[in-house]
Formats: sequence, C-alpha cells, structure tokens
Amino acid sequence: MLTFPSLLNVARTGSVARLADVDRFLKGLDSANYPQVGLWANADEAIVRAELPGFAAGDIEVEVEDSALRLSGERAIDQGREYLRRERFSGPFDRRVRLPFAVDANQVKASFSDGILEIKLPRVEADKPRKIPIENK
Amino acid sequence: MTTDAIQKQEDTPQANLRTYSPRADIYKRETGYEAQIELPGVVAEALDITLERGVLTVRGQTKVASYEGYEALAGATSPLVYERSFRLTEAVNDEGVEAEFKNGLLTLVLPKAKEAQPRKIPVVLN
Repeated sequence: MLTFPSLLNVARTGSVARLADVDRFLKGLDSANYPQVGLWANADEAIVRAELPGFAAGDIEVEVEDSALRLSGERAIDQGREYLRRERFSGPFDRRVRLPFAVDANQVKASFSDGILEIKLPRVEADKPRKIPIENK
Repeated sequence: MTTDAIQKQEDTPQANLRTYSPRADIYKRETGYEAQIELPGVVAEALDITLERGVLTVRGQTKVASYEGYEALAGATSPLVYERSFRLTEAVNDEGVEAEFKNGLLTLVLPKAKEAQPRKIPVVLN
C-alpha cells in the first residue's frame, strides 16, 4: 500500500505481486510496446483494442498499411512538476501491430471511449479465402 | 472441489476476476498531492472510491472485452478489476479529497491537512 506522503512502502493489493501483474507492469513501459493492445479476428475483420488512459481521441495517430497497424502519439509530461512516484508511461510511443491479414485502409473505423481505442479493420476482399469449386468430370 | 469451496465462490462472485494494481503517478502540489491512476475501460458507474480509517481504496471494473464470432489472438487480455489502496497520513486532509475521472484516468486531489501546510507567522513589531 502506498502511504501519503511518505510513499516509501509499496505493497500490492493482495499483498503479493503476481507474476502476471509484474509482467503486465513492465511490458507497457517502453515506447515500442506501449500501448497494451488486444487483438481479435475472424475471417472478415480484425479488431484491435488499445489501452490509452488519459489520452484524448485527437492525441492518437492511427495508420494502416496492408497487414500492419501503427499507433503513435505522445504523452508530454510537465517537467516543472515535482513527482513523488511515476509509473505511467510518458513520452512518445510508436507501436506496430501485425494483423493476421491485409486490411482495407479506407474501411477502417476507430473510436475512443473511457481510455480505450477500438479499431475495426475489415479484411481486403481479395485477401479473403475463397472456396474453389471442384468440377465433376 | 469440496462443497465448501463451491459455497465460497458463490459468496464472492468476483473471486475469479483478475485483479490488477493500476499504474499511478503521484505529484506534489502546492496545497497537497495529486494522484493520477490509470483505469482504462472503466466507466464512472463501475468506479468505487472509498476512504476508511485513513485508507483510500480505488476499485474499478471493466466490461468483459470479448467479441462474439471473433477469435482472441495474442495479447488479447484486459484486466477486469483494478484495485489499489493508498494509506493517507495525518498530513492529508482526508475530508477534502476530490476526484475527477476522464478518459480512463482518475485524478485525485489530496489537500494537505491545515497543520501540515506552511503557515506564515506574523511578526508584530513593538
């Protein structure tokens, strides 16, 4: 538990930090691994969810090229402020997410709410698996 | 599994949810402290802030991020419950704690207790 204002002792909820917790904590702190993303897909579409708490929609750049998604932006920190503890990501980030297939950049839709960026990326029509009819001879 | 264990789970339906300690920044302010706590995916209605015996606890629950008909691929895990506690010392005026929640970021303003704030002592010259 953090104590204000001494902040010397840190104990996590449940008293023991679990490995998954630590792993998650460490991962999201370098600029190529920030933000944390989740990826879902079916045969027609991929969905990417990125955790960007504290950001506004206008602060985030989303680019798509074939089967890669690029998320970039920056959380500037006020250098003049005195901090006692800094765990949140700060600075520029540039994350590339490999998609399972080529997507139609013109049909990509992104929305942002409650610190979550959700991007829907429809698969390029030509890239979709086709059924090949077998001729009876 | 014993009957006891099943009983326990029913009593605490949230026992199976992954709980994560959210990241926080803490800043000094002229009049106290400011904590910024990351709770992405939590809506205000699912956020609880309690203050009991000097311990401030923040707990937020996200909706299950799953999409029907889609397969979850690598990295597709989101915490379901965020929880973290902060012990406030006498230096904080716990009645004056203010909270603002926007875009998945909780900002807590913790004012210094009166006696902890520097006071100017007027000197009367005779």
